[in-house]
Amino acid sequence: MKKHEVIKVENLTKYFKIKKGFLSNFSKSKQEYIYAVNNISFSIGEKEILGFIGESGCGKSTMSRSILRLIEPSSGTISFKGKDILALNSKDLRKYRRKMQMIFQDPFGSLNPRRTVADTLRQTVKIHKLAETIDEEDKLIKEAMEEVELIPVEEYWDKYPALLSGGQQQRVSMGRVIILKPEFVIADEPVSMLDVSVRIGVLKLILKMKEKHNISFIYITHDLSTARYVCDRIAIMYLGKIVEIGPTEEILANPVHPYTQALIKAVPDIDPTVKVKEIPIKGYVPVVPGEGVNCSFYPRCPYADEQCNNEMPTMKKVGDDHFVACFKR
Amino acid sequence: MALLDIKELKVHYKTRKGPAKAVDSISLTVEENETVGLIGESGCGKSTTARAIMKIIKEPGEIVGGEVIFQGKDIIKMPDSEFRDIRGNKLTIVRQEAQNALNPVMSIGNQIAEVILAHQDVNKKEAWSKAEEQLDMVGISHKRAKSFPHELSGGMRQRGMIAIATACNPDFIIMDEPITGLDVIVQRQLLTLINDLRERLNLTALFIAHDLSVVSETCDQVVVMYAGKIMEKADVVSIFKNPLHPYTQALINSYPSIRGEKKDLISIPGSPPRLVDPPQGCRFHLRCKFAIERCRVELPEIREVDGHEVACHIVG
Repeated sequence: MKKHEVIKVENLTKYFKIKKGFLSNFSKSKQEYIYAVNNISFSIGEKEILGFIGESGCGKSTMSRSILRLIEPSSGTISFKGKDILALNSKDLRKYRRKMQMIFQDPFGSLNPRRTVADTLRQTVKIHKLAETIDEEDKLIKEAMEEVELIPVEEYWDKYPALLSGGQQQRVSMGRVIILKPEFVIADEPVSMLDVSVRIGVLKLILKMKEKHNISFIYITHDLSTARYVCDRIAIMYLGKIVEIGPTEEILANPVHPYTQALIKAVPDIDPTVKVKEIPIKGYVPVVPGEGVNCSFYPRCPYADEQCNNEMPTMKKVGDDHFVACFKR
Repeated sequence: MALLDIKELKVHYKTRKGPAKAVDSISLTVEENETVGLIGESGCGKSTTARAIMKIIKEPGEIVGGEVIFQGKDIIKMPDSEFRDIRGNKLTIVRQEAQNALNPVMSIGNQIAEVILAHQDVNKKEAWSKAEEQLDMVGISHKRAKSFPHELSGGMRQRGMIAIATACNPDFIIMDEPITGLDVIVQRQLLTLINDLRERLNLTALFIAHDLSVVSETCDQVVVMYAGKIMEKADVVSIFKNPLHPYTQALINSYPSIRGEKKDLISIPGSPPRLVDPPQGCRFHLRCKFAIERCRVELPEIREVDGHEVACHIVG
């Protein structure tokens, strides 16, 4: 338990029906479900960035959307500063949305191509009724643009998204978030579509937002190296479950779960004299319907035995603030 | 003699504001049994270079100058009828995003067999059994030969692309971001496959990537491109251990690594220039912290410094 928990998620689950053909309505086969997010619990402290890392299909985006109630979770509890988010009606939820924001992966796709930078930000100001006069609006917009380093402001004020680079577009998205003074932001692969040379600029901006405005973040990515740069703690996800969670440097130095070990080993090295060894795990991520009764990584794990096939591992403490779900450790 | 020799290649895209010089007079050579990495940010012209070598530049793009000499012959001037025997046979490409590059209504086995039938004197049955061998070689069971692309995972589709590209024992293969957009573990499996094939088939390759680490693991020589120009060329160890061009240095300094000490990363200010009206002088000078007056007016020529070929006024 941390002192200043901003977000606390307990046993969050989101499952989707597997759609079958029309004729299956007449057969006796049982309806099956995919557990995209399967019984996840964690909490985030004030000014903390928690990274979620996993391959595509591991449920990291479904999880983040559930937390903001962009999709309704199937079960579990989510509290924001002690307030139960799932109990809110749509009117009250809107008030909380201002404090809980999201930055999306595709910077161009998340902006309206027919709105200039200033119009995009003005839209946010209007919807949330942040200002009373036009001058006040302009002032807020200008401050937000300065904050995300779209300077000189005059140069970008009337620009359309198509004329901006990917990094600048992502900054507009971030400006739209910062103008609301949120306390919690989910960044869903914010730099994966950006060029190497501008990535670091956006990551530094995230760190600056955290320090300056006391924002807590969930940082979702498949890229361990950018996660290392921004995250205080990271959680490794596999098939809807957290398999390992702990401080970033601790996990990178001493990964405990076989899947985490494989993920870290798989990352190519920039030093041409380093030869990366073959990773022990084989095959692809399977599709497994149902809640599961065993370790979901069991079919690909080099250390697996009978126990892994028959029981579900629970989170065990293996170090300071470092937990892992594996029998073999 | 170099297997592939590109001399002052120029590719322009027509736009309403005049031509965008996507590839602006670049020269590079690839020796036999060598893998050359081509790195740069999106829009720097690396994929356009690949397409120009394959002669698959489409309108509004156009090769406006230069030579691409492959096995002693200029393929730019070569008539299409003659080039058709080379493309897909001796000179092949593995393209990014296999899901778009593969034919969705043709089984993977048939797509491999099609290439073999087009270039070799074999009957359908022989082509099919060769296609099955190819699939086994790239790590897809030949039992999947009748699968359609949508039935394969992203990693398997990319393996299928590699099977097609290597079906006729090519002399030269271009890999255009072959592992981009895939998951980390699948990427590692593909890198292992590519490195394995390089040795087994004695491949000569041009490997295009935006990720420095991928190039560092697969290539012998590295070429760094920026805004349609070559900035630096050197062997893989010295380009990463001793980068000379400020742009190469900046790329390496902004690369987050998960190994070793956590270092402070330095971002490159600004963004790449528009290719319709690139800045005068050195293309990189607006973002370069070492830029002097000369960089603003005079385009640097490529010259040799410490075994590197580098286009910069400051270096050396």
